[in-house]
Amino acid sequence: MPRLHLPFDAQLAALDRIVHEPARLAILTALAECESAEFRYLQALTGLSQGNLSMHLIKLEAHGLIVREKNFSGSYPSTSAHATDAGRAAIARHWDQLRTLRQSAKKLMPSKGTA
Amino acid sequence: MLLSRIRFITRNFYQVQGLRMVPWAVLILLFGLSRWGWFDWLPGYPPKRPLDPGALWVVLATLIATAAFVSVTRYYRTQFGTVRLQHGLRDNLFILPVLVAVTVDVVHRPTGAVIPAALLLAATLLGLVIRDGRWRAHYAPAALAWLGLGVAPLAGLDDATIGAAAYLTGSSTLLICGVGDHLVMVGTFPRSPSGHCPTSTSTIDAAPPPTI
Repeated sequence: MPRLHLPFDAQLAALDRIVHEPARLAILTALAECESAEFRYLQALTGLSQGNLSMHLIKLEAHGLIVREKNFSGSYPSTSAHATDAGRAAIARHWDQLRTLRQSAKKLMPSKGTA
Repeated sequence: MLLSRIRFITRNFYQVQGLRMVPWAVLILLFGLSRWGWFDWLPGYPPKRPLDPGALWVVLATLIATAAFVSVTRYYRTQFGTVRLQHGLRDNLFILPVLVAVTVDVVHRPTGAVIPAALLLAATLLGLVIRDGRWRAHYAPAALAWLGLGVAPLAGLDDATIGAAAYLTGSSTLLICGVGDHLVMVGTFPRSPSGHCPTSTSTIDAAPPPTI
């Protein structure tokens, strides 16, 4: 019986956990759709506290998926982030994996009337 | 939170700041009402020539609308920060032929069985509904209104009625689309950090590795 689930489990295990974490997935999804975004936008988007968001951004940056930039808008300091090529590739790959997983999950579901 | 919604909001970050459209909607409505003589009590209004003193009322109304637009833009920047878009200009180039057609229609006022600019606007709005799906579903009534206006001459309506209907349709389009966009945008952002699904503690990270 476990052999039946092997491909699905293998696909699940192959998910990049750095990307798949809900907050980081939201951050990367947003950054993949734009050139760069301000820290405030990402904070409003995820609802995370400043500290938590910083931690996630540091983690993503450590894996080479995003780059943080500190600059000034007028006289106010602001932090923004943009996805690297690796980050964009990672999120695209992740979407593909999720799509495949979804299809596999559908195959594993008992069809109606057979249960 | 739906990731497709995040993608839509980020890609159209400045378009969905819909409350910025409200001052222009009010301005168009006021211009429409002025055609019915609602503001004839104002000194010097309506102006007979562009440089008449009565034209200052138009300038004043436009300045107030611009100030409101700037204030609302500042509100969005304060609340949601800024996003630098990848293809902001290229993605919005489709609006150019629509604006040209509307301008030509307004200036030349061609007399025909249909109003081409209104039909083009309807098609554009409908195209946005098809492209963006449910996030732009509120554009559909506006598209239908423009479609109706586009074929209004077929119903034998006179120019004055069609002109008034155009102001009303323009105003309500900006209002419906703007407020709808705003609601889609603010609905994407969680009200408080605690009430939102992405948390610092990852359920994926914390879960044991799957058994293979």
